[in-house]
Amino acid sequence: MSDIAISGVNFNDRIEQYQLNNGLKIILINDDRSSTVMSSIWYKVGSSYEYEGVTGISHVLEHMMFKGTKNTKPGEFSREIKKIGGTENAFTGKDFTGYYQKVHKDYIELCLKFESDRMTNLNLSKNDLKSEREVVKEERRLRTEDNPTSKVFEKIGLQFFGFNGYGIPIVGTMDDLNAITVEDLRKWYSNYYAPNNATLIIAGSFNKEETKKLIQKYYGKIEKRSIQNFSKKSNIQISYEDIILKDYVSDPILILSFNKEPFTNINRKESYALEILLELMDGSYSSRFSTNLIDKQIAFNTFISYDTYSKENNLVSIGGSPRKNVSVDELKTLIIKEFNNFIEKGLKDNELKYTKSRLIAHNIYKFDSIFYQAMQVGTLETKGFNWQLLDQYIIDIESITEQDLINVAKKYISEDHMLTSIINPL
Amino acid sequence: MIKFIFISILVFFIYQYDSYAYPNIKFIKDNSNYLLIEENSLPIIDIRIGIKYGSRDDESRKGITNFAVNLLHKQKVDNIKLINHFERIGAIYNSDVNRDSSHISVRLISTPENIDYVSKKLNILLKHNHITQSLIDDNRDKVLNTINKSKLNPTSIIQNKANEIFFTNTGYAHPILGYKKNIEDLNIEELRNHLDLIINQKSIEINIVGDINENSSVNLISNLFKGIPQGRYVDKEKFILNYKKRRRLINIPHGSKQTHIAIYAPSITRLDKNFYNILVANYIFGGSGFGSMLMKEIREKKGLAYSVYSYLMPYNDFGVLKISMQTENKNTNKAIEILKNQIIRFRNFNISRSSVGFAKIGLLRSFNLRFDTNKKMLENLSAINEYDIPENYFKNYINGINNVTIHSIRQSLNSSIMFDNNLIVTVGDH
Repeated sequence: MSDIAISGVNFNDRIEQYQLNNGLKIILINDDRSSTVMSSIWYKVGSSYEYEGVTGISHVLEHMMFKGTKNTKPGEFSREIKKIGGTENAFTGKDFTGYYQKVHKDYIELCLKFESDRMTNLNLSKNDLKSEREVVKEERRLRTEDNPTSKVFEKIGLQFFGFNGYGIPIVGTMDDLNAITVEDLRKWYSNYYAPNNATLIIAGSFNKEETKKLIQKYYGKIEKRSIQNFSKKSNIQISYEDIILKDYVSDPILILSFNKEPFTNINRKESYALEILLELMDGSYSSRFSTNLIDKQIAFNTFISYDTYSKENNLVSIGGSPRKNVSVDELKTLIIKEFNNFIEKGLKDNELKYTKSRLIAHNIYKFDSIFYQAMQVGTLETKGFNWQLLDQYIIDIESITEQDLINVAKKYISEDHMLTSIINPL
Repeated sequence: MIKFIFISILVFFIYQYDSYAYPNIKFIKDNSNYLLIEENSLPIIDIRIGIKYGSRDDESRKGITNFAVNLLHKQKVDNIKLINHFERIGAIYNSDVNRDSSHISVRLISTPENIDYVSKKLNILLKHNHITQSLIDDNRDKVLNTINKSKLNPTSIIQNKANEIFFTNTGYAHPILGYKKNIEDLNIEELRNHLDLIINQKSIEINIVGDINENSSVNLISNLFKGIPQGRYVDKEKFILNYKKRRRLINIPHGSKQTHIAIYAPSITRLDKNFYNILVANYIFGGSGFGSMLMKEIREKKGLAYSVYSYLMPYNDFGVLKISMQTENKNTNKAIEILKNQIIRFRNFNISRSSVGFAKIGLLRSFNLRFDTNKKMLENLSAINEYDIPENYFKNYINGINNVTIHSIRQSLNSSIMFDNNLIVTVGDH
């Protein structure tokens, strides 16, 4: 299967990359499978650029970007996209804020025109902020405060990293949301929304030469600016003290969290080995957790959360809910035992082969959508990595050995550096 | 002048509609139940098996269809679960049960070996000869656990309650998962009989998209159906929606920070002559996100919710217009009042002609985006298979939208949505 994967589907055959004089990075991903094109702009700013007392501002600014500019009325860009049958949205992550429009290829110019306009001409008004702040607070209630798992993950992040890097909640704290002013937003916008702090990714079907001319026409005139780093480190001593909560859950939820070093080009094989190890443990119905914990009626469910491409220290979280006659402590012991057994006894027959097959096939499936192609490339680029890693991925995955997996299990899944969190039913 | 521009735009679109890029749909084996879209640019195949039975067909054993379909991939062959066989080659297996039908989907890398392998495993899966008591007991434990979870989740609470009241005395009233008592009582014989009933060649539709030609598709289907009984088409009795209450309000207390609000009103099915009028009208009302009437009033002007939507749920037997949103508990009454006022505005349809024109253009121009991935093509193919015949589907859709006018919407709205028979359910701490 890897032969097909390597020869048939890769980014190198479809990407052209260059930079405008103002520093704006352009990545063109050509995919003519349909007549659709996606235009997306990625700014290097997200919650990891924030600090104590100023959280959620990147996300609030993302909402305010739909409120019009010196040249457009509030919501006009969205209306224009709707009129041409397109879809659009925006997203804020820990390391990036992105905006995209997916339209028929005939309308790429409209996207570039409006998006480049709001890179420099955004209107920020007190009235708009007043109502949009309430929308964001509703989003926080929906996604975090009324969601027991999200709520505990927010606490875990803060206990591990404090108001630094990946510890900062993307949506922001309620107090900070209430405190954000138009001036704060202006400062954030004028610093980070600059061409030399952004990557424009066009993915799908488009005329390359025409598109390049349009990009130059709309983005080429925007001046580059110097970017300041506003983030302030707050002191934090990692605490491994258990987090125990009560919430609206039917069964206890156990979460074990471990600290993972940032991804670098040098340690990338280690990061991929960890990805394979975690996939082998909990990535499928044939994984060890599934076979040994769920099928043997120890757990109702299990989960693992891990982001391979972390720019900063991040968490690996492993957990699940025990069945009725199993205690949380027993489940915790058995989860750890799965890793210890692996360290001691290594792989079973074909286990690594099947796991790699799954990862490689899933990597090919991502090419079905221009949205996911742009998302993969944009995520890496704004984190300071390179999209070429995506093509190298299959080769790297193929090279991982049993010993690599044992090494990462020993290094990262350690009870000495583990934070235990439990959500009990009310 | 504005009128002239609008008419020009409309004429342009009527003129243009034949130029929409329809995917080429083929009947496999000349059978309209087996549809194929060949798409060779990626080495991927997506298969979706549609079973013409859903939770509406559970009868007294609420939840049996979901439970039974859930067992299929867990059957063990050579001491290994069938789903593991798929995973070994990197294939992704999924199944889902909705109210009118059930689906099994597999995505795989398109080698001849994989096609042969997957079709044979699917055949074993559909024959369901490996259902055991221990498999049932384990599944029962998990389903009961999911039912317990749903009792604490405001989204599930509101949906289950609204459905029970609104669809009372029909097969659409109970949760797809069923109730605790029914699940506890299910036995192996009932489950085997139910699978015998719902899985046969007459009750199955097959949709395929991707890197596979018609000949290989024929082989795939032959493998898949080997030994599966022909069966016969069962003409199902239609349920009639009898919800006659006027503007009923039900509040369910729950300790959440937000109150969830759902409004239901009886509406039309997908095959109703007014479907396209209601589709365009709903796009303007709350079906199109930003800029819709609901989004403008609730989110953009008042900041009362992160999201608010209205959507037309066209079930086989009847349709329902649903509105849903969440807001901080203290704002519940205010939000309900705004929703009620917007419903009145919608009902009177005091909307500009240009809004209708733009909605139509938006829907027509978004047509291409509905076919830009294999996954989306498969979803559409599956819907086409369930509702219509392929040659007519695309033209019907475009003609249907093109023929909508402000007058046709006004004429059809009050006969197609029973606004006075609405039900409002809230879940929260307000």
